Amino acid sequence: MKAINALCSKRGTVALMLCLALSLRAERLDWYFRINAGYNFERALTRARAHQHNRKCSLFGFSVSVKELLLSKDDFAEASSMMLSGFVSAYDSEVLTRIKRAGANMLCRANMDEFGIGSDGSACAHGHIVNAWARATCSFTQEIVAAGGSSGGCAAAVALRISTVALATDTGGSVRQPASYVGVIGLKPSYGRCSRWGVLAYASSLDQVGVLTRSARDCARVSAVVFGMDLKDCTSADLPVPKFELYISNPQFDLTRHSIGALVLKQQAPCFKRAWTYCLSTLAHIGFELTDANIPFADMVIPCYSVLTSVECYSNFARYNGIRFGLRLREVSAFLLYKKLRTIAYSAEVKRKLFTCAYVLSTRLGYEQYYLKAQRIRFIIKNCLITRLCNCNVLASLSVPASRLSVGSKLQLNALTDVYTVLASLTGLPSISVPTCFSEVGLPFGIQLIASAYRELDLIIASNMIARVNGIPSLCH
Amino acid sequence: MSLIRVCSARDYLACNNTPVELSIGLEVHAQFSSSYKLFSGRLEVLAALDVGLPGSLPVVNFGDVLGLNVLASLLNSRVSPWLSFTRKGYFCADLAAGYQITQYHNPLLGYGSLEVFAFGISGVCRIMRAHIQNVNLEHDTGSVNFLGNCEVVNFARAGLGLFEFVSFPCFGSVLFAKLYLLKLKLMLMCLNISSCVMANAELRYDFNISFSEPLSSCSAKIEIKNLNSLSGLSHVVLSEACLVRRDSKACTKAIEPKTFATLFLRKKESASEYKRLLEADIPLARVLTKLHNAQQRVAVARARLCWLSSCGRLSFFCFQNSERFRCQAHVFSQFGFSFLSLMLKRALVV
Repeated sequence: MKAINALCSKRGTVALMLCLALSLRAERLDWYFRINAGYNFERALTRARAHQHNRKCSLFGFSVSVKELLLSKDDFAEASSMMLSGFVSAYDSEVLTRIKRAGANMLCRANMDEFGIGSDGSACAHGHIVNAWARATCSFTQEIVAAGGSSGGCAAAVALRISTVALATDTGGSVRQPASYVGVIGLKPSYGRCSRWGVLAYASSLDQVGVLTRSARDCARVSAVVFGMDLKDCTSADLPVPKFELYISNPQFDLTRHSIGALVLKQQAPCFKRAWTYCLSTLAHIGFELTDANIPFADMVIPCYSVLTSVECYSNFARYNGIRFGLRLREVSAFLLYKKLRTIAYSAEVKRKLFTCAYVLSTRLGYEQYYLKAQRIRFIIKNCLITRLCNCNVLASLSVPASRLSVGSKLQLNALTDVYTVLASLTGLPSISVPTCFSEVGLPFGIQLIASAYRELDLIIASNMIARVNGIPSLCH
Repeated sequence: MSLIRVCSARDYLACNNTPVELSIGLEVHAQFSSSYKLFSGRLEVLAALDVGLPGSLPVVNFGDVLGLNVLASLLNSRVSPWLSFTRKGYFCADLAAGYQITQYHNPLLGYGSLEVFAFGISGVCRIMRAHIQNVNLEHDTGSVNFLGNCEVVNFARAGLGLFEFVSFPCFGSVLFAKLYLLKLKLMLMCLNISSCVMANAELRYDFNISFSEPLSSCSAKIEIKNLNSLSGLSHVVLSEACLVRRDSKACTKAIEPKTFATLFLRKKESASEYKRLLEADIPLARVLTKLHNAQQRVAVARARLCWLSSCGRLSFFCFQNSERFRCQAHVFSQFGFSFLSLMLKRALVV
């Protein structure tokens, strides 16, 4: 990217040509991988032409694919759902405004699971997102190896080199899981680092905007632009954003003398033990000091997560009542309208969330037994993880329990792919997924690093060190 | 419905020749006067949050702690050290987001009480203490208007800040409920918290009422929404007292503003039908209620004095419910010296 950047700043037309080439590539690959949710390449080109002269911007020449959950002005914001079909946003999300101000070009709106709910990329309105690494396998066995979710489209676009970086949102691992499946770097910053203004809310207390890139340097550059306080969002933290790129380029800031706690959860699949040992040996080889950090409450994490997300999801989705925006049916009575629309427009995954909440909050007892208890457990988990992070800089675990995620098979429950990533989401700590090696089936997988709050710097440096030793897998298509 | 009598110890409403005891609980909403909405920008601007567009987030614009301190001291209550909000989810056409941001777990002011005095012609002074459960902050919803046979939602007032005074069902008569409302209104006006123009629905109230014959259990409660006049209260209570049966179900009613006729709206929700959860978009914040310097303390004291003196000016209210019933009521603060001044003024009037 550095070379391209240099080239771009020398000759203005190169940026334009690059944008054109990438959009052609996106159009060519989309028929198979189902990356895009909507084409607006003409608009991207006009924007690129308009911006081709301000080359001093920090993200000049970057093409960004954006998850559909992030609103962009005068653009469809359908969230891959029938419920919002035809909804045009009236304002930009804060993150996109910052990216555009920094000179980047928004290339495409990436496909995703409906409303960001789901972890396998199967609930999309625009078709299944195919893992770019498993194209050959797919055509042989007639099964779809998915790119994970819910930001599958973003991850696939970055892995297929359609866009340099992608902006996505992470609720329970939506950035890190697909990043691990397709072999790119996926960063979820601490809760409150990015502004959530203009992001369609799924679970407000867990949502965070994340970044997907192929190299740690790009990640550093984009993070420096996107992060920071926003007055439109109460939860964003008023903390200075370090110049990540500066720290990366200078080896004296490396983490070698610090320790990494290896996090082992009980549910870990035995077939993945070998891969995990390999990851740990890689870390040891780089020079990290490994310590053991077991967590006693691993089985509480997923139930706690699903209660909290379903409750917040229910309240956030109350506004999609089919009257004021999105799809509107013509019915004789209001009751029929609500009933029919909800039956048609929501996918099974969303309905499951809504039903869970309706059950949890239906009685006083349920409210206390599930919701308040989940809040308490979340607090306990947070405290426990923070004490673990006192002893070591970074916690490491796998990103996903298995590197192959096929959509057709019903062998694994959806929730169980979240086991590792949910931990960082519940506690609001920053975490990153870095591709480390390949599994036996020939698919890349990554390890997840968790740092203490607002220490994204440690993560980016660590991922840079790992990428320097291991390299980032690159794909030919 | 024949007549109303105020008895000496307890108040009864004579209805169809049987005495009926009332218990009324009030929920008063007062719009506070500010140039900002509670969670979104300026008053004149319709923000994305007010119309419930996806992707919008609330930001709290609430800074007047001084007035709050005075209000707390006048209500014998204290300001909660934490400011947290709760989402109350229910479906209503005028509620754009599908939930209202209000307070539940951590109300702004906790338990408080307000003394109300009434004077009869016989010269008997009766004191009644109104018990306020809590005072909450919340945002206003839109309003439903009718254009021909078409229902339109008006979002002009959506997002304005409201104080919600929830009282216990402690009012035994219409008179005391009215006096409480008047006193509260006066207080809010004097402290510049709200302008309380009832015609503009800046002060409005919902009330719950249940009837019981002496020594028997209460009837199911009837909730009546959104009244913005004092005379409406007695009209509605009288008409409901005649309608109510012992086995009638709890329900929510609305009133027509002109005729005060009640319309059945829906059956009463139970508490769990409001899906309450912690508002995650607004982080928990400290309310700095401690008055650090002498200047602030003086300001609070002056505001209190201002309230007391203005209460002297606006001391007498007369209202007439029926031919037989006439009462001079007085609203004043709970202090002894103003009680004395009241006695003097009463002597002048009578």
